[in-house]
Amino acid sequence: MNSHKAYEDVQLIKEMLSKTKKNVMGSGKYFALWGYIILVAALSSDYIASSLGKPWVFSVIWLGAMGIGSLITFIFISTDKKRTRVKTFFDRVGGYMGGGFGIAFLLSGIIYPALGVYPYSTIPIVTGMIAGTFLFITACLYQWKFLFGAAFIWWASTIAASLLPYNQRGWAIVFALIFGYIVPGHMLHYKERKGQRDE
Amino acid sequence: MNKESVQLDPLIHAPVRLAILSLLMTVEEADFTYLKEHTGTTEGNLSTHLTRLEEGGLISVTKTFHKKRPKTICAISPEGRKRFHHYLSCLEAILTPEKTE
Repeated sequence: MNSHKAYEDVQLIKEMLSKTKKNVMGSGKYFALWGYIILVAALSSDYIASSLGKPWVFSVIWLGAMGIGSLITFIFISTDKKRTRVKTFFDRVGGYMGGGFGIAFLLSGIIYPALGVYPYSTIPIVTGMIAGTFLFITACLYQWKFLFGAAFIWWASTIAASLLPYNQRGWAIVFALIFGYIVPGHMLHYKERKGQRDE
Repeated sequence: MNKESVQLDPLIHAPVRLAILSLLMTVEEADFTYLKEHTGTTEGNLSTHLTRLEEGGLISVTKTFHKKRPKTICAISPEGRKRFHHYLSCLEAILTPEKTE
């Protein structure tokens, strides 16, 4: 076999590998969905819990939001699974990571404060730090550069939140949610749709 | 590995089969339509090559139904992965300039 033919084979392999790199299973949709759910939960829990003066209402609203979010995610995943034409290793890893971080959010945002491990006013800082970590790992995994920016927005917001009076900490997280989660989610969704059109 | 003695796996050494295996190497599984679109081949041709790869034990093919329409899902087997790696080693041996003593 001559080197020219071998070179052609290598080029063909490289071309096929670059095609599979584009495959992501509609992650932008999930980002945007959770972004809106958390935003609504954050705003409503902050307002309702403070106006009623009952901190436990906070946990009920967040548990409800996570339940609704999980249910919609499950429906989306089931529909996507039927439609999808390819399943990548990243899909599996992304799924495990989403589940793992979901549990971390449940513990840090609802269970620990309810058990009195730390006060409710600390929740935005702890959950924001975990959200930044989640976005950073996702950015590394999928090589989505703009998600690195989103991770840093979250981490910076947790620092800002820790410097604010505790009744205003939620605003730093609302800022992070919009610019570090919902906007990147829509960007990702747009990129995916554009990628599908270009194929 | 000596350049002259390199023997490429005849089962992989066909552009369409090499393209199929390259695609399947980086995904867990892919369906027939995905492979057809990305390899740019016809249904009949793809089907023939898939059968050869399956018979050779390089891939597994599962046939299911989705909304009453048949769906063919392909995945590379451990044997296919091993032989693809060996194929890459052979290509590397061919393309690496031989050292002169």
